[in-house]
Amino acid sequence: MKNEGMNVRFKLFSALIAVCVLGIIASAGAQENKFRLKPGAQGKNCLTCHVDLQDKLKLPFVHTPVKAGECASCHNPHASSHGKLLAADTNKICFTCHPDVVSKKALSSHKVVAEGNCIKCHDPHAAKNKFNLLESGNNLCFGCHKDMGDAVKTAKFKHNPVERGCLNCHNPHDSDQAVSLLKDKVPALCLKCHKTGTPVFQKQHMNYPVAKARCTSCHNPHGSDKAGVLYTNVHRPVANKMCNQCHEDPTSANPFATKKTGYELCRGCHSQMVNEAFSKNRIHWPIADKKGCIHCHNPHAGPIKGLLKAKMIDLCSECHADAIEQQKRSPTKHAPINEGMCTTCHAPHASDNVLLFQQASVIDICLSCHNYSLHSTHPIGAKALDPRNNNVMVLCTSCHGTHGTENKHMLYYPTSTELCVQCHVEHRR
Amino acid sequence: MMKNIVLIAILLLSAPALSAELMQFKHLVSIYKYPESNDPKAAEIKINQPEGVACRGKSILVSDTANARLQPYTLQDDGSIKPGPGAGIQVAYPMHVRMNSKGDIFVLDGKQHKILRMGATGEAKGNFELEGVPAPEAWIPKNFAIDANDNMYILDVFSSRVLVASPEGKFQRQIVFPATDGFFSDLTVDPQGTIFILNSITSMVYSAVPDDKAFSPLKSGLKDFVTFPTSLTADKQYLYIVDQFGSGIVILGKDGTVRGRKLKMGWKEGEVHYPSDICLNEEGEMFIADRGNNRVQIYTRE
Repeated sequence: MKNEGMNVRFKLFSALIAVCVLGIIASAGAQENKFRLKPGAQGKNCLTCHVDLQDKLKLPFVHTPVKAGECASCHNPHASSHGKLLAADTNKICFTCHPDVVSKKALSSHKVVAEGNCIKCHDPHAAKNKFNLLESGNNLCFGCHKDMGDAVKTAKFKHNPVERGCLNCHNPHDSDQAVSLLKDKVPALCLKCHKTGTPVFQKQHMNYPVAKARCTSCHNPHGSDKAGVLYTNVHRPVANKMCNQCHEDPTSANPFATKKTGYELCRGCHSQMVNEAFSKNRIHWPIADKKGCIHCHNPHAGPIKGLLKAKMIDLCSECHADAIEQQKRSPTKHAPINEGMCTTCHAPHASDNVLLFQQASVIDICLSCHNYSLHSTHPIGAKALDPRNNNVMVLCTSCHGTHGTENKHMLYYPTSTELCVQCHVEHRR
Repeated sequence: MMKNIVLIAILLLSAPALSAELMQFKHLVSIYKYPESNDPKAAEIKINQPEGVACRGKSILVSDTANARLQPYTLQDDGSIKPGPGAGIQVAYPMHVRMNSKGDIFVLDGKQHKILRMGATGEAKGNFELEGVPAPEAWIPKNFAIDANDNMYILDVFSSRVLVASPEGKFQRQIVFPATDGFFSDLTVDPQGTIFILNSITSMVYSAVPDDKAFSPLKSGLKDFVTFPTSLTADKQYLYIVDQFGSGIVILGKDGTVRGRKLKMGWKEGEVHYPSDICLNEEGEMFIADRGNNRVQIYTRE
């Protein structure tokens, strides 16, 4: 009796397991063919209308799901909330099958990849290039990086790996080794090709142990018009191979140490500039700190005139992002900021004026670009005191925010009426 | 009973936060001009781009920067301003200014990059020199603070450190700046002896209690609350950060919690435009060097 009961329970349990297994198989089948297409109908159904794709599928490299006729892997045949009837957001759909295209440990990632703009480089269906790339070799990269492409093509002194392909040094998606998608850090990357132990190499580098230095502080890895692929603008001591003018001797214990700290080092040659800066009422304070001039300037070589580390607007916004951001939000742009010329109004090193203004009078600064007589007849200057505060004159900046405001014409208030009645209170309604 | 105890405890714990949030500053008076004097020309001079303001009790000292002059005033009980004590003092380019407990005046001269020392009535006592500074010996003061015992704290931007010296200038200790990007613009010492330094670029405040060998960041940055903070001061409970580009004052708890933002940009009385310095006296009155408005404004607490 007891055995019989056990048998019944065993049979019931077995049946339950069988039902579960069948259920899982059925569900997997349904998942594979979730639109319940007729056998053999996958893909073929789509191509009856999308005839243009038929030619494309003859290309040598076809995306795997397309080749398998699994159009429904990416598209919903009935309806979708996304463009092209995609099953998910255009910028996310690729990651459903390619989730690890950007490593979690990545030190740098290609912006288009991070934003999911995979189709900037890859054709989602088929292409004549490996990996479904839209173009082959450097042409693909230079499609976006046009300036770089032009510079590489016109450079008098070429860097051979660039000619052979950007991917010699860069990863296309991400890099967990270095910045700028580099396959390895500098100088390790450079040292894979360049042998630093040769007498010629050592002589060229004045016997400094540059195998431990950052090669790109002098050399343009993409080619240059200067011999030795040095950047276009070279600091004179570097051009003259006088490294020890600033650095300790190559045989010393710390050959890359500078002989002096901060601006004191630069003062050795640029004494007039440094002395003039320090004689002004106000100095741009970073000049006076430990880092000094190299906050903004490259000490060796660089692509920008004046050996600036970056374009002026980018350089200034490293510290004054607030001012630059304010301009970005402003419906009316102030031309000097828009053109990245902060020095139109501000002195970069030092000034006798507040906010490092180039001139003592705000009005004079504005009039160096603007013709006030064509702009307004409102009195400004020493004879027009601000009614809100008699200790300040009416200036251009009484009405306009020079880095932009949320209002048109960089006005502090959205309408002229609101602006004017701040002072002309008798007209306030 | 238990519920009541818990409620009282919550109220007590939140009291500092509530007090800061409810703290209101009421504009009391502004200083616009030089005091009336026998020299009618002097009486016509308006304050011009004041970079600094010092306060001790009812004594006020204004760095009238563009007029190259330090000007003393006294805040009277009725809220009015009286000239002096003493006359104005000529300084090439006066910026940050403070007074010690004896009334001696210390002012940072922007042109010389030196801290000048003067007696209470303005008699020159030479530059404030440091004795026994460890290597690197060179130092450039960006700002300074004086504690209740008249010890001097110097923000040395050239060698990236805070130098602490006795009132006579004898080196006592140094704390190096945290290894971080940005630029340190100001420092202050609170009544408990904790040093606070302000990074204008990263909008971070760091602190070091008297025995600390290094600075630690306060718990969170101020990026969402300020645009370009340039100076700070402290009382027993709070830190007060001057947001120069944003024209306002942000109040922080000593742990870095933002307790509120006060004042707004403008030209009218009570409003500020590119404020450059702040000072609090023992009574909690707040003095703002309102540089863009060519005045010093005084606020009381409500």
